[in-house]
Amino acid sequence: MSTEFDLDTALNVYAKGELFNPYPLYETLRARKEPFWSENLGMWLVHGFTDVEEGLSDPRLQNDRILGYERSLTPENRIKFKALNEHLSHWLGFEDPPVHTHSRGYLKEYISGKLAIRMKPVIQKQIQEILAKAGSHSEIDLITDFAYPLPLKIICDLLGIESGREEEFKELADAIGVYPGNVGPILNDVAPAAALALVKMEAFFDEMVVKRLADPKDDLITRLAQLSVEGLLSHQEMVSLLTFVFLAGFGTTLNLIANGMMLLFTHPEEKEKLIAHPEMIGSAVEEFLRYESPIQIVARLVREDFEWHGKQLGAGDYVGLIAGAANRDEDIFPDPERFDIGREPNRHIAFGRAAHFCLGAPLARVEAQIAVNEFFKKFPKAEMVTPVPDWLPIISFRHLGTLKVKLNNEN
Amino acid sequence: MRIEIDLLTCQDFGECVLSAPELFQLDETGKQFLRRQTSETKFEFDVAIEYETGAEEAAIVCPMQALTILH
Repeated sequence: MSTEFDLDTALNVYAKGELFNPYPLYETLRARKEPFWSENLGMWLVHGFTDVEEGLSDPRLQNDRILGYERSLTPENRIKFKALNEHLSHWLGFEDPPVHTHSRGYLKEYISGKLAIRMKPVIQKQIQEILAKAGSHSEIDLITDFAYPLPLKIICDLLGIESGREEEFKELADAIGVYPGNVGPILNDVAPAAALALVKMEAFFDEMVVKRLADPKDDLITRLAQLSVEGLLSHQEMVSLLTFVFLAGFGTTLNLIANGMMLLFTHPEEKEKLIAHPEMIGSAVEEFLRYESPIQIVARLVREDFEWHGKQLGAGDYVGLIAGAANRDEDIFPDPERFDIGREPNRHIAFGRAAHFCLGAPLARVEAQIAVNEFFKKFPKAEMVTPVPDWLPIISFRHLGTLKVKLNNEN
Repeated sequence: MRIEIDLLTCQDFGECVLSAPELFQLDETGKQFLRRQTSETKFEFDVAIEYETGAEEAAIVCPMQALTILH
C-alpha cells in the first residue's frame, strides 16, 4: 500500500467523521511539510507547528466565516435564517479586529486572571461535593459524574445562570451550537432547530436581564446587560456573547479534565508520579493539553488570494489549522508520542495564539489542576474499567464517550 | 515567595504586566524588561509579600506558562 493510498483512505474516513485515531493521519500530513488541499473536506489542512502558529496570527486568514455558512444555505434559507447567521457573526470566534478587539475587551474585563484566582475556593467546594457524591458508588463514569458537572456549574456561575436552570440553558446553547459545528449543505437541515433554540435563548436572557438590571450581581449577565443599557452592546450582541462564552468554555473544559484523567489511567507510571508529587499538576495539565488537545482543529477563511508555503490560497477557501497535529510535531517536541507530565519546555498550541488566544485559559487551567489533584487525593487506588479509550470520531474535538472507573475507595 | 521566568518560553505577550505591574514590565521595544537582567534563559527573583497575589495571578494568566512559583 502506498502512502498516497493510505492518506486518501484516511482522509475519506476522517471527512465522514469516522476516524477514531487521527494521529497517524496527522503524521502523514506533517511529513508533506506544506498545506494540503483536501477535496473531501473542502479545506486546506495545515498541520506543522510553525505553520499552524503562523496561520493563527495571519490577518489574511480571517475568523469571519459567515460567508461560508451563507454559501451553503439555499437562497430561501439564507433569508429565513438571517438572524441565526447574525447571531453567529457576533461570536468572538467569528470576529476579526477591530470589532473583535472591542467585544473581547468587554469579556476580558470580567473573564480575567483575577476571576480564576477568585474562583479557586468555589471550584474547591464544588469538587468536594462532586467527589462526596461519587464516593457513595463503587464505580462511576468519569465523564458524566466528574468531568461534566464541575465546568457546567462553574461556567453557569460565571455567567449568572440561576441555580437549577443550568441544564435548560445548556440544552438551548447546545442546540444553537449544532449549526456552527457543521459545514456544507447539511446546514440547511440543522438550521431550523438551531433557529428555534435561538428564539428561546433570547427569551431566556430577556427574563434574566430584567432581573439583573433590577438586582445587579457579580456575574457576566449583569456586566453585559449594563453595557447594553449604556448603548455599548446591542441586545443581539449580548445574547451572542453569552451563548458563545458557554459553548467555548464548557465542553472544552470537560474534555480537558476527562482526557487528562484517561491519559493518567493509561500511563500508570505518570499517574503514580503525580500522586507522589501533586506539585507537578501545573506541567501535567499542560501535557494533557498538548497530548490530547480538546480542540483539534481551528477554522479560518481566506480573505484574499495569496501564496502561502508554496500553495495558492484563494479568497473564500476554508483553512483548517490542526492544533492536534501541531502539538505532536517532532521538530518542536522531542519524542512527541511520549506522554510526560514533567515535559519542559511545552509550547503547545492547545489554547491558540495571538488575538484569539483562549480567554478562559486561566480558568480552565485552574479547574483542571484542582479537579485532577483532588480526585487522586481522595481515590488514589482508582482503576480504569473501560478497556480502551472510548474516543468519539468528531473532527473538531477530542471527546470521550464514557470513562468508567472503579474507585477502590477504602473509607 | 520566589518566582522563575523562563525567558526562552516567554513570548512577550505582556499579560503578566496587567496582573502584576510592580513585578513585570515591557521595555520600549515591547520585550519583557527582565531580559536585561540576565543573559541566561531563566531568571529567578524574590517576591515581596504584598505582591504575591499579583505574582500568582501572573503565573496563571501567562499564555506561554513561562512563570513558575518556586515557593
